[in-house]
Amino acid sequence: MASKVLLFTAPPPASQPGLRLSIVEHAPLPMAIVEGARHIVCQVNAAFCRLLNRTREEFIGKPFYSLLQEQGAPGDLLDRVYRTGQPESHTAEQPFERPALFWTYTMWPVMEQDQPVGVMIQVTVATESLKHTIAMNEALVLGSVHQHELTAAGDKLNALLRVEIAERTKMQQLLSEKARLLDLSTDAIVVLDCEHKIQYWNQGAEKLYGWAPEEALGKVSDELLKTRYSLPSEQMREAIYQDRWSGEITHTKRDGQRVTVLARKVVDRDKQGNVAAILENFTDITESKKAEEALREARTRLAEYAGQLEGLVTLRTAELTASNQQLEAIVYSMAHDLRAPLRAMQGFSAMLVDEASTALSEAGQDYAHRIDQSAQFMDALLSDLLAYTRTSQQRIELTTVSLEKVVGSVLSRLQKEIDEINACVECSGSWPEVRAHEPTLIQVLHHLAGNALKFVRPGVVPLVGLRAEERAGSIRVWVEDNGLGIAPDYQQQIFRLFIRLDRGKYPGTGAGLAIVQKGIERMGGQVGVESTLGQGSRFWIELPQAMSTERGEPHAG
Amino acid sequence: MLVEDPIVLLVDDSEDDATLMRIVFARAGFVAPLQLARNGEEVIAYLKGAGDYDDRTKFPLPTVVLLDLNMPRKNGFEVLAWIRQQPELRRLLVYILSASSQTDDIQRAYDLGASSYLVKPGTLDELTTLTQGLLAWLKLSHFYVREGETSNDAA
Repeated sequence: MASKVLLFTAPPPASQPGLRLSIVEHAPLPMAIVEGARHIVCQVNAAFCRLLNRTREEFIGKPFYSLLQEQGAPGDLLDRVYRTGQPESHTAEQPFERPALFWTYTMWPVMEQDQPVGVMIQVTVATESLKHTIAMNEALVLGSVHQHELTAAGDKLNALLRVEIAERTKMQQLLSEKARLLDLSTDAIVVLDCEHKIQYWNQGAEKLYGWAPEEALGKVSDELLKTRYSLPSEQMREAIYQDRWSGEITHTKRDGQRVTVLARKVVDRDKQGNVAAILENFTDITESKKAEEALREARTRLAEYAGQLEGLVTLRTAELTASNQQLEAIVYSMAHDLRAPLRAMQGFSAMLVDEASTALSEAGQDYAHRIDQSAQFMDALLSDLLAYTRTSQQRIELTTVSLEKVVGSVLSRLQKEIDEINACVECSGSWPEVRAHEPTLIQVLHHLAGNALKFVRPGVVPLVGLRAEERAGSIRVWVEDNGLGIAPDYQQQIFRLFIRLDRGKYPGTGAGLAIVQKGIERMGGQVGVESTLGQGSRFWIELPQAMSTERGEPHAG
Repeated sequence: MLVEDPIVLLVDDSEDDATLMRIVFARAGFVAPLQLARNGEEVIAYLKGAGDYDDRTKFPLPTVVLLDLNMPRKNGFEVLAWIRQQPELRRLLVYILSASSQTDDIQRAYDLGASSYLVKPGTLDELTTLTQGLLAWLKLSHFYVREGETSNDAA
């Protein structure tokens, strides 16, 4: 058979041409190999020769198509396989043959260096009954060629499917989780159909109302729960059909107990706008309702108590004010009454010193003198106590008062004292008008200026400054001195009654600043002091500024 | 007419005050002795010349009454009101001499017809000053003298 190989007019295929020729030679099925664009037959096997009832020599070197035209050989198919390098298959019914005969041509390209150089052809002869089997076989044969492609495509598909499955599993878990959550909810969650029949009934609903899902499903919600709306039921149905709705309603439980719930309803509609389902969510607010009620009650009671307390405070304050006034009245009359025997003590002891001095020993005279001095001091105390209680008890009417006049009056009262100690008093700036009670204001400034003149170290010339300062809506009057000064610890104490920091060194009872404070307090003002020990003090009083409209107050007559 | 030696009737329930007053009056230079009534009832009897007071040489009508306010039985206000109701006494000088310096008391006294209001001083020195001033003032003042009566300096 080697000699037949030599019959190739074209150069033999580079890749295993020997194997190919051998396959064709020994194949039980009719096979042929053609070369080139004209499909010149270069090899046919014995089966092929038998099929066409011709000799091998009649084929070799001739174009394949011209030889098999009568047998319906597909010339265009051969061209395509040669051109594309893709295997093809074609079944053709043989003309003139009865019963019908089918020839199936299967064609593979012969490749040399990735270029088709020829086509290997196999012919299968089949009756009608075998046609499909053959086609299947052919497909399988062809399919095996595409196997790797199919496997790759299958793998790809599998991968996609796996991803999809994973996603679906996840979704499934999520859904079941959500369903579980719906059950976990302590709220009652109920889904109704368009006829208000219960379609879903979660564990929360079972727990709240007492009906198991199998008892509740299919029942009309409002009938089962005996819903009581704040609006009439029909109106409520209309209301909830409009939109979402929420509000407080009452339900009756399985055991007959009533519960107040906060209801939220949402209507789900289909594309036509008909009610598809109603979602109801009920929160038990019976407890919070009770708590709210209790709270409201407690608040009311608290308000009552507060009112009572306020009344009590007002009453007590009034009582206290009354008793305080009574007490001050008692103090006043006591101070007043105590002065009478004191006058006698002082008078007679003074008389004793004056008239009986010759009859008394030196010690006796000294005793009489001491009684006289003590009685005088006690009288001063009582006198100041009376002045103090008078300041707190007297009627005070506020009018527009000229500070200039008041200061002038105070200075003229102190003139004798100023001259005696050769003090320097300076009044600077302007003196506006204030709202005050003139006699009280004179008394207040008299005490302050008097103190400024009095409390100086021996040998120091007292320098006293008086000036007014306008503040927001009020007037501050400063009384400044170069005196002893007051240590910070005592700056509040000095305003108390009968407090004397330098007992014995300076005259007085210690009532002056208490009278100042009481007087200022009665006039609705304020008083204070800034002081450095050893460097002098700056006392101030503050009173409301007189309104400009009050200047032209009408005079009587 | 001017009075050389005014007669003062002191109405005071305090024995001590009265004693001190008598001494101080003498020191101040009052010639006529200080006449004394211890309460409201006594002063009314004195002014009426009733009972123990019917002897006008012993108990002459005063030039001025120094009237305390706070007294038992009839207080100073009641006495003052009574005096002003008597036709022959309505021009009598009545000086209030009280320990009270309360505005209410002062106003009420003037409303009832007090001629003056003096506050009792706390010390002997001040009391001396007051009586000296009072004597000087009374000596400078003219007084109404009722018909048919003789004043002490005219005697």
